[in-house]
Amino acid sequence: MSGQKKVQVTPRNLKLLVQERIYNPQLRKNLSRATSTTLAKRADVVADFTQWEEMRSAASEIKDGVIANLDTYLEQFEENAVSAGATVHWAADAQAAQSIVYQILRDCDAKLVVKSKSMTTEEIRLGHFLEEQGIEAVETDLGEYIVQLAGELPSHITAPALHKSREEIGELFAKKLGIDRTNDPEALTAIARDVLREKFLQADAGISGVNFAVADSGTICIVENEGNGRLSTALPKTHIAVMGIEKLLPDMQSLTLFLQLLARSSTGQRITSYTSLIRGPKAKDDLDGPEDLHIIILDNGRTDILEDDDLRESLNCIRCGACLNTCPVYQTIGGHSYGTQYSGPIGAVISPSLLGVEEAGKMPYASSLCGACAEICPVQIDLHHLLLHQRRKYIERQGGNPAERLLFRLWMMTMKHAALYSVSGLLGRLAGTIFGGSNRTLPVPGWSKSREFPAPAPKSFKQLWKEHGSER
Amino acid sequence: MSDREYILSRIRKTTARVQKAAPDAASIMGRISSVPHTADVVDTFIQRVEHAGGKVGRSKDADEARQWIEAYIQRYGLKRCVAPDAVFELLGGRPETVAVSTAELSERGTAHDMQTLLLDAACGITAAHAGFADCGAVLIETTPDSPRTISLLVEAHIAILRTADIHDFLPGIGPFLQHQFSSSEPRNLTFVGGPSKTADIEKTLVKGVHGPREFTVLLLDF
Ligand code: SF4
Repeated sequence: MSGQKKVQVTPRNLKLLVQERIYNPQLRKNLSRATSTTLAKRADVVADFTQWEEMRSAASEIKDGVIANLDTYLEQFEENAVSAGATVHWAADAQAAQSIVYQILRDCDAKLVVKSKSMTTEEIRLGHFLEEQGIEAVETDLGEYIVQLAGELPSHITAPALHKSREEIGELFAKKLGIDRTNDPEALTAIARDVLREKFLQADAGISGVNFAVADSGTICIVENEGNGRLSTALPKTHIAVMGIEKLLPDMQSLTLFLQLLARSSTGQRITSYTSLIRGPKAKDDLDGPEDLHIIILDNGRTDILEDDDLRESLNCIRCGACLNTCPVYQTIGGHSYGTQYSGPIGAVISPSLLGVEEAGKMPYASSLCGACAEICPVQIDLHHLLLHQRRKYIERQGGNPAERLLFRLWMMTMKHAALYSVSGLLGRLAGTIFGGSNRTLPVPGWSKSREFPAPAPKSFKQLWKEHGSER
Repeated sequence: MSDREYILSRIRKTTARVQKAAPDAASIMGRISSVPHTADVVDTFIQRVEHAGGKVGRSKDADEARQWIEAYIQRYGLKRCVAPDAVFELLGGRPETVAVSTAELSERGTAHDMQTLLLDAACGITAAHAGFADCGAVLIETTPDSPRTISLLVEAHIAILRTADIHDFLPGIGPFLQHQFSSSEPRNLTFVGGPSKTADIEKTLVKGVHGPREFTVLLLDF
């Protein structure tokens, strides 16, 4: 296709990654099993509530309002956190956050750090940075630990080692930890428990993310199942929590709502094993807990998202991962194919801002625009619309292929007007005749060269239903 | 310009343009703060704790509760139980097993001694403020006599909960939490909804990955 020559594939080569993954049968097996069981569990526990839709819209309304007044909430949060004895730092970008962490660790002479799972610290490549500074930073979430041992990136927001089979993990542990080979998940977990327990007991500092930050009391909330988050914030003398500016909620009452949405949407649990509410460091007479609590508030591209009237709602995201699980593209290619820390539909929407257009500009193409993500999102982010928005921005930046630009404008129009919906199918089939021909690849640069894309159906499902459906 | 000023000024550029009122969280929550429960709240609670991999015991008086704990410790081959004095009072005395109160712990030793004791096949007992039927969790609090690690470094964690303190819906605890966090003191509370667990290897569930292998709620009907 002409578009393919015209537009350079981004450095993190989406196409190659996709090709490699798509032909990896083990990965596809793991992925489809994991995503389908999680979705089934989710459906079960969501059915507890007749008012699930009301809960979603309440959450979305609260988050919209918080984001639209973020300055006030952040200042309120800071004031309350400080009054309880925490130290609050602000970091405009990844580098600033890294050097704040480094400074804190140097001040307390830390050599060993335990990290609990956090996408935000992945985003700023904190583990990697600390390693370069000669500080041992151990990932303690089992999935993250596996990924760290293997020297890879996590492939799912809540299940980082989703892409690895038990055999691969068995081999990895045998090689890296010098233990006898076993493929038994229970035995492998027990080995990791022993190794990591030592680390917890010796660590000088614990680094965590933050799931929610409650403005009116300066409380941070950490949600997890393994207990590594609690251990990281109970044993070491210093606790450093890194949070994006968007994590704010107004009060405890709202928090209870978000906790219900998060656990159900992410892992299909009614609540996770541990949900910690932490305000300040240890109290004076406590027998354990950190002497110092540092909270780092991170921008790193989020204020760019805030500025964009369309993208703003993506700051409502609570990183549940449901949109990944339900995405047919994610189910097929897995998180690594996106080549970035944040994958799936939400990753495609936010990564260009958080990680840079160079790294992630092309990601919005890794989507079939089926709309399943927007349907499932617990905070009602219109991911479907945002993916289109990001694609349009990408095309604009690239100068674009005029035919594609035109099709997009039309498509966007039809997406916004339900009455035009049937026309969009027509549009697709029309595009098929323009771009289809004998070499049926989509006019999307670098995305599907090696995949025969099915020719768009000559008649839409809607049309067929009309013609035949009434016969019954 | 500091990073703080830089970030806040960038945010203000947008918030000033958008001009949207802060959300009235209380009234928004008011719209959804109830859940229609046809089933019995206590039964639902028990069923959901078990569904999440926890266990539930029930006792009609202090003696029964104490005996239940003794039997539990034997069944799991544990060496001792560690609890705040307040919990032993609730149980009408110490179980006839190696029982250590957290007050003795802090008098007797260093943080390291405490850890060693907890790590050696111990069962930690904490009191719970409340339980929640919709999610099968309890709310526990860190206090000077109920440290974080007592429910964390141990083999088994038992949360003692008055049956009357089971709510049907998690948001029911909102006002209590609001009150708990209203002073300027440090606070540490945890919703516990199951044992320490992971499914990170091929989605196979394994209990006791970092923390307790067993999580049990002992309901006090008195
Ligand atoms: S966009 Fe929605 S569904 Fe996707 S991770 Fe965020 S909150 Fe979950």
